[in-house]
Amino acid sequence: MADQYADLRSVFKGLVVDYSPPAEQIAEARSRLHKEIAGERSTRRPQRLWRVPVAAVAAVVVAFVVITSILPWGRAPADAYLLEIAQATRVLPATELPDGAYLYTESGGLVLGGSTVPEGYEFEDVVYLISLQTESWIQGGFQLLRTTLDDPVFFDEKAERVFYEAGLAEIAGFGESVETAHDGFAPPADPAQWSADVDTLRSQLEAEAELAQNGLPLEQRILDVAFDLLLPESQASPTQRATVIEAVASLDVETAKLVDGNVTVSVSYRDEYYGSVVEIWTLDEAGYLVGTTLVTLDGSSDGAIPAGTAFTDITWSVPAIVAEAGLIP
Amino acid sequence: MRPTGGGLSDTEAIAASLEEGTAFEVVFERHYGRIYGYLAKRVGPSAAEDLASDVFAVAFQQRATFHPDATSAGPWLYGIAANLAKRHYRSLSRHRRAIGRAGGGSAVWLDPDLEGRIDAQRRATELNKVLSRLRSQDREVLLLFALADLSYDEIGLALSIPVGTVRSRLSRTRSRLRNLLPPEGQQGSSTVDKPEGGA
Repeated sequence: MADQYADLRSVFKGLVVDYSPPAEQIAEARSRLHKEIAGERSTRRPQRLWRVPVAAVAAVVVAFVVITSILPWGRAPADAYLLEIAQATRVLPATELPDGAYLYTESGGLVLGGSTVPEGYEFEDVVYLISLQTESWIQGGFQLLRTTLDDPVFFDEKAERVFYEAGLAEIAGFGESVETAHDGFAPPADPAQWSADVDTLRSQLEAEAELAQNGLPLEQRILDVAFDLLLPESQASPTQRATVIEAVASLDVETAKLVDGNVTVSVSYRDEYYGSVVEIWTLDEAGYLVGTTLVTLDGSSDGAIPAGTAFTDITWSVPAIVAEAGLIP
Repeated sequence: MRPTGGGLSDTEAIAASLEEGTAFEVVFERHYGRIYGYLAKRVGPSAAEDLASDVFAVAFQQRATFHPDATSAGPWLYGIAANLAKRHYRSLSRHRRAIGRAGGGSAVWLDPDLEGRIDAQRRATELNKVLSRLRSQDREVLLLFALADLSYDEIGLALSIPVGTVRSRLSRTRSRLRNLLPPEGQQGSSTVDKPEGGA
């Protein structure tokens, strides 16, 4: 039987080429697999990280109510605040983007930056904090992005002097606002990809996190995937956000409720470069991620970043709908 | 899949590797080249080197999940490769998150020699635009079909979806790609051969 979709293969004709792996690459990949095999101590699967099934979470909430009614100063279970937000988010109306309209999102704060220093100076590279603001207008796959970088803040006077003497400020474009437009935007919260069932979603998050080879602990990677879906620009529906938050609620995280009703989720882990790291995410009452902060408690291993530095501190505004790209609501 | 000349099938090799890890090498030797080739078409030959290596490391770690009734490890490996390629583009780096670039990137690695070929450049631009606007699951089906030459059944196994869903996604994709389809009777192979390093 003729393949009825064979013409789809023709679309790529002349645009995509066939590659064969070079012999040395095959040898490297083979060597890596050998190390993987040698490093395996048993064929047991890693323990699942999810603490308890959803039904058990409900039982915990009931137990919380009972315990706190007996002990007026009893500490709330970590996930109770998240379940509260999930419940409130789930009943929110979905945001409909009218034809021709744009989704506007805004973020700002501090991130860690670095520059390679030309030869002849006492440093090979310098690190600093950059204050940046971004605005984004999204319509389908189109995104207009406006990024503004302010002057960097240095941890070390010598590094600052070298940075300016070497002319790195001009290269980095500090103090400038840059606009870029591209057609490749793909919202991470594709409803066809992520399940609305919390048990299935937990499995999906874990599977996705297991594939991420970024050196962070698996639980941290799961949270990374989950919180990406809660970014305002991810365009997740209230149901999706609520399901993601319910999934996070069953992880072993610390939470706290702020006076404005927002809830923080925090974890700590050890990183090769940053040492002991505390990461704090903030969710608003609509289930959006509105803030993230990373603090190195030890300072970086090379001494470039002092202990106690918040090396990422970003906040996001709630999304808005505007009629034109470039308009600010 | 059972190789000519005897030896362990994929299923037998994976089952044996649960007791003795080195049995998994059979799967590597049999499939590495094709998995690399698929990834190179998606992310480029340089990035494919690490990703292809990751595929077999992940597959080895997850081999207990391989379905014992499967006749070949190919679809399973392509499924892992598709996920890794997707992750390659959907970086989770906090800096990217901070500057608002949650998506972006081309869905396929286009022939670098397109430079100067105006018509091909135009088609490439249009193709990437359409690919970027496809639903991600439709795009994965299309790329496994067009770049990896998998059958409907194999795509279904790779992505854990029914064959009917594979067909319906290809049908939906075709309607989005209609302006790029060749006229009736002018269909050919999907790619041209190019040795590694020719980019």
